[in-house]
Amino acid sequence: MSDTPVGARPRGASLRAIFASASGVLGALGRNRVGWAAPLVAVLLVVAILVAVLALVPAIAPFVYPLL
Amino acid sequence: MDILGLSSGELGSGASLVRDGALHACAREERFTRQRLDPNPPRFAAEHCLRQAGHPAAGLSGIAVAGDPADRFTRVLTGTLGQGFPLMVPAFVRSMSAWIGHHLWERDSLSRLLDVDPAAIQYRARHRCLSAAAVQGSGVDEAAILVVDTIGEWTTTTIARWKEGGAPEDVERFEYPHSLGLLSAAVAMLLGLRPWEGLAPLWDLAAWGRPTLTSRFRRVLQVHEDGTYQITPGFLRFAELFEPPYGDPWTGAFTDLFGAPRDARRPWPFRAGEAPAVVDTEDQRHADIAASLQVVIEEAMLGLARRAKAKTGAAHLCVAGALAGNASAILRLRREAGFASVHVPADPTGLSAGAALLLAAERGAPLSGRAPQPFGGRAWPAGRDLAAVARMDPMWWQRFRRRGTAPVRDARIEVTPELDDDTLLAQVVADLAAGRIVGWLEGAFESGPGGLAHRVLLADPRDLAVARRLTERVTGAAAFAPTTLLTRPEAVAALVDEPAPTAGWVPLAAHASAAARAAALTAVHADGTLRYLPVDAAVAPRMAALLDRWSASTGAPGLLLADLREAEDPLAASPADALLIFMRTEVDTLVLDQGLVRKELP
Repeated sequence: MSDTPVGARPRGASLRAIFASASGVLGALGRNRVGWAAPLVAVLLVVAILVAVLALVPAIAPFVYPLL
Repeated sequence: MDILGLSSGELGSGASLVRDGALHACAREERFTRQRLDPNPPRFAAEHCLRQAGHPAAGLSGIAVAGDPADRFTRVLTGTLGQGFPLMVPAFVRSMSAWIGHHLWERDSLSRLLDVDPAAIQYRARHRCLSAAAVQGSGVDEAAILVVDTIGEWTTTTIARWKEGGAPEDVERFEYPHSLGLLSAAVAMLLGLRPWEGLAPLWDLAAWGRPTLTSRFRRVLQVHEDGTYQITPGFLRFAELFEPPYGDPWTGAFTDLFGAPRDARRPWPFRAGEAPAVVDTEDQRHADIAASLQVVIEEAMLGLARRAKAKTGAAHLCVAGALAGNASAILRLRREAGFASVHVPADPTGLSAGAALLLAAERGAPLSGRAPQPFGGRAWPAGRDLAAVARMDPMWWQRFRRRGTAPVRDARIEVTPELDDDTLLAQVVADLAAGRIVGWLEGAFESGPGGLAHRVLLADPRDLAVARRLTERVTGAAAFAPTTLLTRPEAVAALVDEPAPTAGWVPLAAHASAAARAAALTAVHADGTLRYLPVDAAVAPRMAALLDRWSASTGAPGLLLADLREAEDPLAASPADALLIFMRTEVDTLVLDQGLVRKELP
């Protein structure tokens, strides 16, 4: 019976968590035999990052928020 | 060894703490944020669990989260794409916006919330969590488990086996899109109900209809001789139910069979406890749809239970998931599936508790079927709130009064901050006998979805007018839904034909005896069944004492039970929540631990 404490959040944890989530998705796509969807997920991620960046620009943000 | 279990999502988020294999604390986020089925990460519920643990999250032995987001994402992605272009576009945009936007990054947000190492957060499959939660309170040491749900990652139905001390082992899984829960949710939407708040209204409505459309449902849901089942392609588009706001989950072929969807604003003509009045053919047809679905769902669940019996050879069955709340189906399993007992846990969709129990079992803490603590929520002292009410002018409350209820501005409010149990119970019994509605708040709130004995509304079950006032002026529940009779285990034998052998703090159903029909008029449903909840004196001694005193004084077998809440709100958690309900609605008497508040309208 393991009773080791889980420990506090270390520095740089966000980046590692995001990579862990992304690799988890790739693993799940393979596990569920839908690996063909990986490029689509990559495109969706790029679009999401673009939209998130555009939402930071005050002049463009009002046009981006309705898309979210 | 302390394990924290977490769940979030469309069914509402929650947190549980398991200490050495036993449930120590359990709460839903909605009780703290007052947002019904709050889907956000369970910040306050986790805080409550950590307060009970007595140390910060970093000191936990493990953190388990129900539902693997990566697997769910693949199902959402392929499920929406599978609908075909251009039909899939709205559901795809809606789902991907939510998933790419936040669901996928849940590990990081939970790590920030709890201030723990993200690597310590472990995901467990949703159905494995439900399997672990299913055995809680069963009182047996070996059982077959049947999880019949809407959908987990891919799994919709699971048959598992479990032995005391170990974690449940999956025996067979049925996967998306073959889901009894999603089919039920789609039919509920067709009938103008709100399935995301639970499927109970659909099952309650079924009692008012006739199963005239079962052959049509058998075209949509094929139940095979060997207990397996299959959803026929071409009738339903379940991907519309993946992310709110939900689209229509049916195709033209489905509406050709069952007609156009019902207007959700149209009132139902059925009233619990009363003989059906003249019913419009459209209303009757909609009730017939619910009744027909009920028949095929019962057949499917019975087939699955028999298959579970054949595959595991177990003597007892534990059922969990969204369809475990179908009391009539559970009654049928109890009678016909061939098990010595059929158990439903106090919270059949308790994902956070299941996640924590499962991780604890995997780490060597024995998973046991011993009685769970159904009141794992937080307790608040009521003294300060009572003192505030005592000083407050009723005129101040008038602005909060719910539309359609009697004005409170000239009411006389009597506040007694501290009463001994004897005096308090005598006053409550007298008030109930006089046709008053009593709100009851005691100790910690319930872990599960509804009020059991600590956050409840009580009334005289023999008085139809009080039952109607309770529904229309307090809870706002559907008029066709039956109420539950809160009773003592000793009284059950005289009330129903076949009492259930176990009582796990979940409302049970059985055919009402003649005595019950005479004595508990309003708790007997249109199909002749009685919904009842036996109160265990060892867990809820004050409520048991109240019931004993009530029965001795009036001869009635129990009290009418409803959740202490208004229709759109979560169950009351703190004394302030209960006081707001008391002043907004037609609750006449409110018990807050040892305190008593009474309202006298002019």
